[in-house]
Amino acid sequence: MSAPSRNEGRLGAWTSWLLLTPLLVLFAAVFVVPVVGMLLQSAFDPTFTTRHFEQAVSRPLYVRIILRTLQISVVVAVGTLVLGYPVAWLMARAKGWQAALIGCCVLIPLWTSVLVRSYAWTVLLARNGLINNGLSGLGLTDAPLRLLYTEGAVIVAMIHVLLPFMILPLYAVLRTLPVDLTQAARGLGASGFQVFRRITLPLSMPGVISGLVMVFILAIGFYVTPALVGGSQNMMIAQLIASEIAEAPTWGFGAALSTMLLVTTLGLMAIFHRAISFERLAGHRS
Amino acid sequence: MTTGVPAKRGARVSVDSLVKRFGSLTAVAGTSLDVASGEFLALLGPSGCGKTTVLMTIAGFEHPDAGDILLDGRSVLSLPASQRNIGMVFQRYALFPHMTVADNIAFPLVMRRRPRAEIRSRVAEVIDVVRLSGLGERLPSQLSGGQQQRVAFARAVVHSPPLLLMDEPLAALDKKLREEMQIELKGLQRLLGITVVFVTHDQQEALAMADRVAVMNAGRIEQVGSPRELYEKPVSAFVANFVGESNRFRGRLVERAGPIGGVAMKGGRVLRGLVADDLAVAANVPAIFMVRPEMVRLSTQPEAWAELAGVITDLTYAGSSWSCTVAIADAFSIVARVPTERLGGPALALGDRVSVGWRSEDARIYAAEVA
Repeated sequence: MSAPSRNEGRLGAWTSWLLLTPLLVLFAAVFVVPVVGMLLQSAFDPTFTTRHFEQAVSRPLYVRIILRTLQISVVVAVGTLVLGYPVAWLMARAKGWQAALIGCCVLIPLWTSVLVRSYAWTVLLARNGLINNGLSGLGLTDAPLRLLYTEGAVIVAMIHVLLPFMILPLYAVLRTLPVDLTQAARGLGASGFQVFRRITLPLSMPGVISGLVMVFILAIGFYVTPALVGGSQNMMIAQLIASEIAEAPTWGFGAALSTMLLVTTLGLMAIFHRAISFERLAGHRS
Repeated sequence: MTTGVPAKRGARVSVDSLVKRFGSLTAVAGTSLDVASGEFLALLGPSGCGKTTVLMTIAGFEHPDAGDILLDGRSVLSLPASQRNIGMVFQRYALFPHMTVADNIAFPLVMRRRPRAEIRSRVAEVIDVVRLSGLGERLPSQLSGGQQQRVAFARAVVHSPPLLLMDEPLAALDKKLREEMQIELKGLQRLLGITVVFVTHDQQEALAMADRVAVMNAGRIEQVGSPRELYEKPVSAFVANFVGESNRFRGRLVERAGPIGGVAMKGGRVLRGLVADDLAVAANVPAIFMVRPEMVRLSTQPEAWAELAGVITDLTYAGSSWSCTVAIADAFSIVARVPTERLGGPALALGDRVSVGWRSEDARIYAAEVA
């Protein structure tokens, strides 16, 4: 009884591979080949050389841009965590139309183009933007503040754009936390803050870590938002790569920067991955 | 308990005219209940009868719409759950999965900022009492169901609360382990002198463990009494039916002689029993007749005490007794439980014609519930 039905339910190995072929071909052609080519170009130009990497770490400007990128990404990741955690918690606890409303507020920005949202920030932050007009209209400022093209503007706009990527993994974890755990903690004498610190937060660490990884990795390669609200003084590494390749076609150097970005990202992912599996080992098995 | 932690006296609990509504549903409808110090009280009832809501209100997880909860005579309604100093064991234990057994048990003491040395010795002591020595560094997921149950109990009593609430704590265990844990929990409760309010839908469990049982139905307490009172003198058809097994027939009350009444069935047979409710005499009111299977007597001879006669249609062996179903002239069936030893004489067999009877005082008549 079970043997024939199992065979019927399963596609033959050949059929599976045949169905996967179009995707594999596309993937190889537009992803694997260019990425490998790019990585090779960073070290073979045309013969083996390390000068692109030396150039990247020897020029103070480039080092500064790399460090700034890492710093902004950390601030953005932590910022989304601090702002996103309460939202995710509320979303996990809410029921019915309230849950739907919070869900919409989180998802609609996610479905809106990053370009549109970044331009919206330029409208808000510009010299004659909404914020400056509002402040001077209320008589709070004499001259317009410099808001746009600052590192602060980059951070605020990136936090806004990346917030859903923090909220959603947090929500996924918080929703599965049994209510009776927090009730038990309350009943055993824990205050609201103690319940959060000792029960909710430790049990939501897998969500915290995946949110941090996701936001950090997206932030490190972010291009549109820093380009629009940060300008050239607050350049991040993606803008540097773009200008190296597009404006002054130095492919080898651009490839070296890209390789460094990729290696950093993969390295951080590996570290975070170990942290998550450690978290699992430490008792988040049900 | 051998150390310097003073054995506290269990708290007196008073539930006073408690009302709790959820939207249009009234979960608890003006329930009052008193639990004595050190008493083990079971709240027994079918699911949705309001027993868990009463428990959650005592614990402080629900706020009543009316009424009061008093511990040792003082209202605790204004206190949050964290400050009522009540131990609680949840249905699925609610052990903290990221903490070791020892950390779980230490939790109430850590929350009360007890000195580290005291916490260590107290946890070790309680682990010993619940027979989990050597398992302190395990995670809850590495324990069996019975062990998890013991951790939940230890965590709920480690800070010596005067009151322990338990919400169906044994429901997740298999039958054999459940019966062992019933004895074990009862023993621990006696040892600690703690007051316990225990919610269950399992009447066997309630009868086995509790000093007194409160039977709840549709948001009200139908009867509070010792297990024996409940079983032998149920005040309503609901209690009689919920606690223990019974033969149960609907009819009309047609005669009344002192405490004994007669219920007429279809076909004119009259079944006699003690009128438990204050039914109007011979008013032809709808009534329910009930008799426990072990009170039903069978004989293959015509007997003076016989009320009915019928044919055995089913015989089921149950170890210490036989369960014997007798069809009364195709009108209805009655079940008798016959002790195995009594079958040593003239054995009963399927198809035998038997006389069926009972002492009128052993059967009960109640007003029919409004269905």
